Amino acid sequence: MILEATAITKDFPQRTKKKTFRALDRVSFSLAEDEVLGIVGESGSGKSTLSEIAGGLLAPTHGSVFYQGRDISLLQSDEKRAFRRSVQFIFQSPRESMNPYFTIKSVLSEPLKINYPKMDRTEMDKRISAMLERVGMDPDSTLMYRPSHFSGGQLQRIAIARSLLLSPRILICDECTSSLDVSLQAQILNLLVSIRKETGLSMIFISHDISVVRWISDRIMVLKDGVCVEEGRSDEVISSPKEPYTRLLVETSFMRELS
Amino acid sequence: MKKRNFSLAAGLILLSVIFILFIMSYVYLPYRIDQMDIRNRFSMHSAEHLLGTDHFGRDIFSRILVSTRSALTVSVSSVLLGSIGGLILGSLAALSPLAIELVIMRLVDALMAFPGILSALMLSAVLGKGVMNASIAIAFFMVPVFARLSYSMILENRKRLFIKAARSYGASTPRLVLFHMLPDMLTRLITQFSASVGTAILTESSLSFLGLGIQPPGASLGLMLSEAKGYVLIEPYQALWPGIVLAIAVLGFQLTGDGINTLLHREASHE
Repeated sequence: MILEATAITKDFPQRTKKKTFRALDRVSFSLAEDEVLGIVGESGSGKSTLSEIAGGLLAPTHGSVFYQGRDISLLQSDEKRAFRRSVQFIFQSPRESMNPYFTIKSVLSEPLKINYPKMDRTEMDKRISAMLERVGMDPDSTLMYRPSHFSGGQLQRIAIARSLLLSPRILICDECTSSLDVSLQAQILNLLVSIRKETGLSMIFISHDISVVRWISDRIMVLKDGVCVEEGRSDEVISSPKEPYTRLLVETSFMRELS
Repeated sequence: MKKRNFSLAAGLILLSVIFILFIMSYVYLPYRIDQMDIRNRFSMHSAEHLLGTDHFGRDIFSRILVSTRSALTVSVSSVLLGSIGGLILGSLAALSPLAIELVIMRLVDALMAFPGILSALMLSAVLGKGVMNASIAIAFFMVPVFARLSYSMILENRKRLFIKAARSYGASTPRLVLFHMLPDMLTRLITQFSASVGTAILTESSLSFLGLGIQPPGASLGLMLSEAKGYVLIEPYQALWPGIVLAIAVLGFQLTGDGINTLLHREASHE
């Protein structure tokens, strides 16, 4: 197991009330090497919170996350940095995930500058260009522009390039296709599938749309109101859902495809 | 149709007047500021003395020229100091745990509730008279405005997705503030900066007026007004020119601040 989360609970304080809001309630999951775990749930089900906890951006109220068998909250600073490098995110809105004042060149070089301060410029430029080509963007007509110059689909490719530049072991895709239209969704999904085949990285793929998740995932976990209601192999969950809620998700997504 | 930015144009014109006076004070000074001509006291406008002379027979025009030096240096340096202090305090508050955040912000609130000129007076009374101390005193009461501003802007910015993205690839907090938040904050900080310089000039003059800033025989607009007030009934034009220059300076910075603000807002709404 490359990543394992045990009984994650997350409470958020509420400004107006004294009571806290429980976003996640004892959710556990594990992610094997070269595996894609899909997390499905409607908005507010806690799936984004779970991904942030899994990636170490947010600390859980109870429970722990283990990366290669080690509790990430106990990592020393060097190991912590290595963990940060190994787990990368792709977010829902690529436009908002890039600083509007940066050119694509600075957007892409910043992760390298932070994580490999000694890397020289030419090596950095070479890696960036190679990665842009890998995701289907032309470096020469991309690097000097700012994010506002590009469309959502192009920006999501650039965002994928950014997350892959650090050669992560785990990629967390948080609704990364939701802001795109259907044909672009398919392109981005295909890109992710081919990258996964090449590099053998593990993925956590989060979406509200079970038909998208099923396309890419080996296993699926269904979240509802911060509780894991069902978990299993993708084909099993889709073809014979045990929970009525899962059945509802499957049915509505098929309805959408039909209409 | 393109709307004219009246405030910016008027502000910049007024400011250029002040800056011309400022530069002139180094290039061409008709008289030394302490050069007295007792027989020619209270002389009116003439070819020799462009704006007349004061109660010691000193050339008012020369004294006004030199006054712009202290007005600009004290106000700009104090606002610079105050804004950096406020920026550091505000970002510290916004990025610290709740307890520290509350302590800093309540402290800033308390400072803000305190009348600025009063705290500047108190500080210069404690620190002593002089230009340096006047600057520090003014800087001190500039801190809360900038602290509040940067605090709220960082809280706003912190929620943005690219901040979360930058954290996810390992950006440190100082890096986030410096490279990712500051460019966005800069526009509003510049607006506030310009408006605050106007206030600072007024405060510097007030301190000098009360005898806590520039000391005689030096020249400062506040000091000139203070010296003129004894003769205001018999020789009223003594107070006229320093007063006008002071008004131009304050108005110039305030209008420029306003103008930059509308300019940036207009640009933002165009995007």
